Amino acid sequence: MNYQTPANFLRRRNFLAAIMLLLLGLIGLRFFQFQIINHSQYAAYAENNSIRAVRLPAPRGMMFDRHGKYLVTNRPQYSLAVIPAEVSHTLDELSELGRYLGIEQAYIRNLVEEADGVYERFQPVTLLDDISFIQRSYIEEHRLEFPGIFFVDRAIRHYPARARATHVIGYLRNISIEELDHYRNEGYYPGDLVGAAGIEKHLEQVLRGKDGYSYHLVDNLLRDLGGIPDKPIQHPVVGDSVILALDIDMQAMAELLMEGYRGALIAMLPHTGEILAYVSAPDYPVAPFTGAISVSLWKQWRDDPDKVLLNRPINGLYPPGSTFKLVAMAAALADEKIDPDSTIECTGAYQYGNRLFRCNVSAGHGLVNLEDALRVSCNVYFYQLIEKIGFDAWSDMARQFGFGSPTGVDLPQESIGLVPTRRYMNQKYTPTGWAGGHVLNLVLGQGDLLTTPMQIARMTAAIANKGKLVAPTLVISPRPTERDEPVIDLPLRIWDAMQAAMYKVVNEPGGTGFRARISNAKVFGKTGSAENPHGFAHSWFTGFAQTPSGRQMVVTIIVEQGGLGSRLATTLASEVLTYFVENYNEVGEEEFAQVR
Amino acid sequence: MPKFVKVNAGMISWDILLLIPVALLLFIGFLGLYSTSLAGPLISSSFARQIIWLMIALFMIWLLRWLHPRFYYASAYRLYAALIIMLLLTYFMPAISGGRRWLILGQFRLQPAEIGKIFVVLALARYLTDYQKYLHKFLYALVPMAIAAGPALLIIGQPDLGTGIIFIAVAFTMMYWSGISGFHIFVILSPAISLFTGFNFYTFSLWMLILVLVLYFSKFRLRWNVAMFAGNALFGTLALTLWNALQPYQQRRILTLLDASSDPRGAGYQVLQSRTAIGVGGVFGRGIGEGTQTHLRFLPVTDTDFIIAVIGEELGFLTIMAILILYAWLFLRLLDRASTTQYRFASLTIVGFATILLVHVFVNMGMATGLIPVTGLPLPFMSYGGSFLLTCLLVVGLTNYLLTGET
Repeated sequence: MNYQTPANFLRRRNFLAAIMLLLLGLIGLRFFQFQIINHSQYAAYAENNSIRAVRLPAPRGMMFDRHGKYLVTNRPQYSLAVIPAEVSHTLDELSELGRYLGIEQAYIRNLVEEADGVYERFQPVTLLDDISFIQRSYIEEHRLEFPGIFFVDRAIRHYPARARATHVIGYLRNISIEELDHYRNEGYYPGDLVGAAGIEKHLEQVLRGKDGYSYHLVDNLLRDLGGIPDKPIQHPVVGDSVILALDIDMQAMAELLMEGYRGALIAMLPHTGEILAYVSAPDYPVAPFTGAISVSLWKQWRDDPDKVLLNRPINGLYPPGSTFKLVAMAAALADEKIDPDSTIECTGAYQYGNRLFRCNVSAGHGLVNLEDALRVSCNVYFYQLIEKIGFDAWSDMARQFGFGSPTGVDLPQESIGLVPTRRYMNQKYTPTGWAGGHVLNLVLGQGDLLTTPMQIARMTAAIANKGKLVAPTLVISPRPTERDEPVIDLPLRIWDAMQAAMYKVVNEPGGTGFRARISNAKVFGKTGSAENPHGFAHSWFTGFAQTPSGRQMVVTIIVEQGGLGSRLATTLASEVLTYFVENYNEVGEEEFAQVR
Repeated sequence: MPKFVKVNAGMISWDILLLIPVALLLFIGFLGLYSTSLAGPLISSSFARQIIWLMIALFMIWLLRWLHPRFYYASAYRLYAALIIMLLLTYFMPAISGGRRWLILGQFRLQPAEIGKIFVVLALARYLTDYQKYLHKFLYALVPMAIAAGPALLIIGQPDLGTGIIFIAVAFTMMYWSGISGFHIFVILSPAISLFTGFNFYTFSLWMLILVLVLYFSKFRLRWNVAMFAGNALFGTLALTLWNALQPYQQRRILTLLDASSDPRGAGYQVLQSRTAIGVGGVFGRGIGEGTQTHLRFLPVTDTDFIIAVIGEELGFLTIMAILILYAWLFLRLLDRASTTQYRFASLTIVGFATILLVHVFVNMGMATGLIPVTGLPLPFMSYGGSFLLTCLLVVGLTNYLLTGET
């Protein structure tokens, strides 16, 4: 072996030692950077890494009627769920469970095998919603035979009331992608339920509570390793309750009245606009609305020939028929040139140009003045009247009564109907394409004129209020926001004259609304029979009752193709008014009208 | 080989200053392995198996005490030849997880590159000892490069880039130690620099300028200078071609170095999680078994390549500092012994050993902290892995044996 003198190596040793110390120092600085300087940043990152916040969905707020009776509550629902990654090897056992629960084997297999990717495979999927107590007990007993399954409980909607109020309450559905975008910052997540119609939609922000969170430790495959003791659960906050103006008992009664018919019924306190009953018939069953409604069920309803999803009181567009003669009457009374007491001779028909317009009674009504004409609903009188007051004055009065604009009812997506104006007619028919004949139809509430039952109810309330065009109100609490409630500027004598005429419609011989007459209260009203090209005429009644104590309630009813003119609607109205008089004549002011 | 059997085995003097840092590093390593082994039954864990490997390694070192130091000098080339044959044989073995790195004989698997590190050091030391007088000539100075490059290329082809690079680093350090002139080393090193600067036109131009200046002031003959320049220019332009010849995963690893957070589930994922684990540890760490990064398995291969991240998370900055100081101590002691021994072969071998350990330490800890690409080199005395532990302990054992007799 060769020998050497150690002194040669001192320089090289120092050089290599310097390089070595440099490299180790570099590593040391790197650790200093991570562990001292950026420590808190990495600590936060590690926490995000390993802690998953598990959302505890808040139950939605409940709904009560005006007397505090339950309308919509929540109940727990147990769903059976599986984690695909944990059951993919025990599909046979799962199929056996499926047989017991009546779930097809192929469905389960699909559900489990569809979940692809690391994240999805560890996310629970629902096997069966709303399993019964007996089913649950059975599964719990045989738990060991079915690995990888567990129960998910959550609060779902429950409808304990006799009344359904379907179209008031509305329904929930799974949040859509677009809505998710819209609500991104408000704590919504895919799969959340969101109000899709009615009060559920209108007061979504009130009813929706604040979700809670529990914090779980997860590993790199997002497998849940249980809770973290030093991170306490944030409990969910239940959504606020909503008190509706509805009277459940009156609502139930009204729903029963409308059963078997198609149409709408509105009962409303004229001074405050509080709606006591709100029926859209037929409706859909509320039971499936416990959670989100399935797309197939929704489609089935959408395609139902009876249009069960149509919210008739605010979205049903109907010709108002003779109820609209009230507008012409108001226009006539406001016109100085017209003497309401002068009479005309009704012979049963009216010659206009080369066309003959018939009255509702072919024999004619004989000599009638304005009040008589309303009472017997004489078409001929109003044909002549409109020629005197003119189309523009009539159309203007209709707009003053709120037609052609929203009523402001606290429900989403209200329709506004259509009041033809000169401009509209010129546009639709060209200036020379329409003539007085069109106008004669309009004054009878036919032709291009379209109204919602809610607009008719509001017009009626305005007459009862002697001018105030109230905003219909379904929600008492939380207090509705101030809405525009214009006052129709007509002298008091005109309102008195209109009320007197409406009283006679119901109470004097020959009045078309005599079936609405009830004991113990004065009833004011107007009937209508709106011609309908598809079949029988629609049957209308709108009016209000005044109890001896001075309490008033408007009722507006339309029965689609009710036949027999206005008879059906008028009869139904008397029932609702009777109920009102019996139950509200003597209640205290507090309980009577709650929105002031 | 009875002539190499020592009769005075009892005379071996163990360098206690060398053994203390090794023992302490082993201890800290076992703490880390113990933590990663908490998840499963201890008896089948990497912790338990590493203890068995430690026993085996100590037993083998105990057996080697009967070999005379001269054996390593005399057998250096034979061991080197055996290494080349074994490396060639790996190419005919079935691939395991994408690499042909092992000799497989039934249940037994041997990774020749591991023990090969020692053999290459011995071969280099032998050459640099034997040809000490001729090393001032450039062609003689080229030979050590060839000795290292042979097995290095075979290993890079396995493919195992990290281990291959170690061989090159070892060759340069030992060449420097042997007294080969700095200028010759520069010339030999220049193709590598051409390779790395070749990716960018401006850095390459700058490098070429420096090269021309150095060559101008050198005492080389003109034709040598022209050859040097042409060779380097060619190498630089070949860089991109060579880059494309790399495995996609190797390319990815190098690219990931540039921005680890850009690809959290790919190659950068490991580095990101490793950095997070280290960062979470702070000054004192979270305590053994308390590291969420480790135990929730965000961090992959915790017991082998990323053991330092586990220790960083659970034992903290102070322990990391202690580890670095222990390594520095170990290397300084090795350099001291290498520079004071009068046996040239032993001196060169020890420097080679020190280089092996230092490159492992730097590459492993640099990779865990994102300084350099993930190359999969374990950490000496700490990472789980039987043959690597054996290599590291053999390095310590042989150092002692080679120095025996000088005092």
